[in-house]
Amino acid sequence: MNSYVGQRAVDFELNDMQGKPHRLKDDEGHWLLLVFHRHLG
Amino acid sequence: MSQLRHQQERLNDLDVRVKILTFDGDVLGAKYVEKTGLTWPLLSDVDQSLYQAYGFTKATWWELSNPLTIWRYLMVILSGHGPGKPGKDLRQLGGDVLIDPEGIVRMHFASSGPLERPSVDSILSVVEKQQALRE
Repeated sequence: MNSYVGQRAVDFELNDMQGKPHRLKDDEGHWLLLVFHRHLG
Repeated sequence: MSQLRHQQERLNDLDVRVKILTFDGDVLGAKYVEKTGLTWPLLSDVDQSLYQAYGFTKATWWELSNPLTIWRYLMVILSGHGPGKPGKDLRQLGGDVLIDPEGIVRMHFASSGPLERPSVDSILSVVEKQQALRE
C-alpha cells in the first residue's frame, strides 16, 4: 500500500513561468493532479 | 503529457485541475510553454523539494539504458512523439499525485522507469470512484 495515499497532501508554494506563486490551498475544493514532468526537451 | 492533453475535456468535466512541475528551470520552461501552447500551469520545482517530499526517486543507470527502455524510447520516437531532450538530471524520473478536494492524496504514482506513467483512464477512474462514494 502506497504510504502517501490517504495522507494529507504536502503543502507547497511554487512559481509558474510568469513568476506567479501557486499554493496547494489555491485548489482547495477541487481535484488537483500534480504531474512531475521528467524533461521538457 | 500528450495523453493527458487529449483528455483535457474529460479532466475539465470532472473538475480536475492539472499542474505540471518541472525541474528544468524557468528559461526552458518558458520555451516549452511557448512551443507547446501548454494551458496548464507549469511550476518550477528546480530544487526538487516537492518531488522529494513525495518520495520520488531517480532512475538507476540500468533502468535508463536497459534493452526494454531503449526499445520503448525507439517506439516513442517512431510514433513521432519523441522523448525530448534530457534536462540537467538524466536520472530524474516522473511521478503523479492526485489530490482530492479536501487535500488528501488519492493516488501516488512513482515512475520506476523513464517512460512509465499512469494512464489518464486510471487517474480519472480514481476521481470517478471517489465522486460516486461522495454522492
